Amino acid sequence: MRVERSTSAYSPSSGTRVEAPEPRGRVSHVSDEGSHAPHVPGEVGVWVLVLGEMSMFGVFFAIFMDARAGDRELFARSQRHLNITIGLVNTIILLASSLFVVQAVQAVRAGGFGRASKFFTLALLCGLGFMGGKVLEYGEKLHAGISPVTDTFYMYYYVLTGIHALHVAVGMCVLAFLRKATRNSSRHPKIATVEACASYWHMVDVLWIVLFPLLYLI
Amino acid sequence: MDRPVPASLSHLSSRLRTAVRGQPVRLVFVGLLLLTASSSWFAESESSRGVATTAFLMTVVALKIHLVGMHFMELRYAPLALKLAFHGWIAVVWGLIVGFS
Repeated sequence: MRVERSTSAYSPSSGTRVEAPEPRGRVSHVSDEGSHAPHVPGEVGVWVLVLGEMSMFGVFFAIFMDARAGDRELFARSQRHLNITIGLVNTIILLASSLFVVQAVQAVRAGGFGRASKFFTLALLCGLGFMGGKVLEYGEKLHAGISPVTDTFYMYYYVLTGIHALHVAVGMCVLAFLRKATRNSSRHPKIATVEACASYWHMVDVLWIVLFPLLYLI
Repeated sequence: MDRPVPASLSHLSSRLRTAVRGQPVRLVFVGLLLLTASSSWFAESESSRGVATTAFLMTVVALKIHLVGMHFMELRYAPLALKLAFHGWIAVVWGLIVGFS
């Protein structure tokens, strides 16, 4: 079993980075005891994507709040028809999926690819659960005659949750890739790739952490 | 005056310390669940949707994102610039949502 990383190791005694080969099955800058050297989780490129996506959603949140300020009564009235229980359960499901992804990354670092694959499977099931909740919620609304053209609040509700669901679907493809890669005994993924993919999935969780109170509670 | 700690309390404290040392992410997960449940309960019990309610709920959101970022996304080991960018986004989103409410 081999965990590869292309970065250099950090020497606390000299305070400098030292180019050194990675030990098999371990990552030198992240030990199980928790002593870590500063590093970007995954790749710099994925953080450009993550922060870019977060900024885009930040603009969406501002547009939603601006529209809400224009017609508070309509937004409050329409919000009362949302099913908070489904939103809350979906929040818990995404938080659980994030925990599984963290445990999978830790398992990869320790060289336990079989365990990592199991955690990725659990995270993937959580993603499916979230999408199931979304389908249930959309179905409930559409059955009650509430569609994106019902009013401004529901237009934003469908667009924001729809774009987020699209990100969940992309994240699930990423998790499926990691699950397959960690199950493949001949060619395991690099730890930087696993961290980068995990960061994307956590971003999906972060965006829902804002969306849930924004649409259902505030 | 020192009082003897009950055995069950000492046992619980010891188990908690072991859990924090071994798997701090599990403790963070429990904290996230508690914050989610308590903020939902607060929002449902609060009839008014004023700035103060929004500010409180968004502060809980900011705390939750901080926990996810630092412990799940492992930003606590990231360079300062990345930590600042992430927390800057949290502050801007908090300001925009509370400011428009």
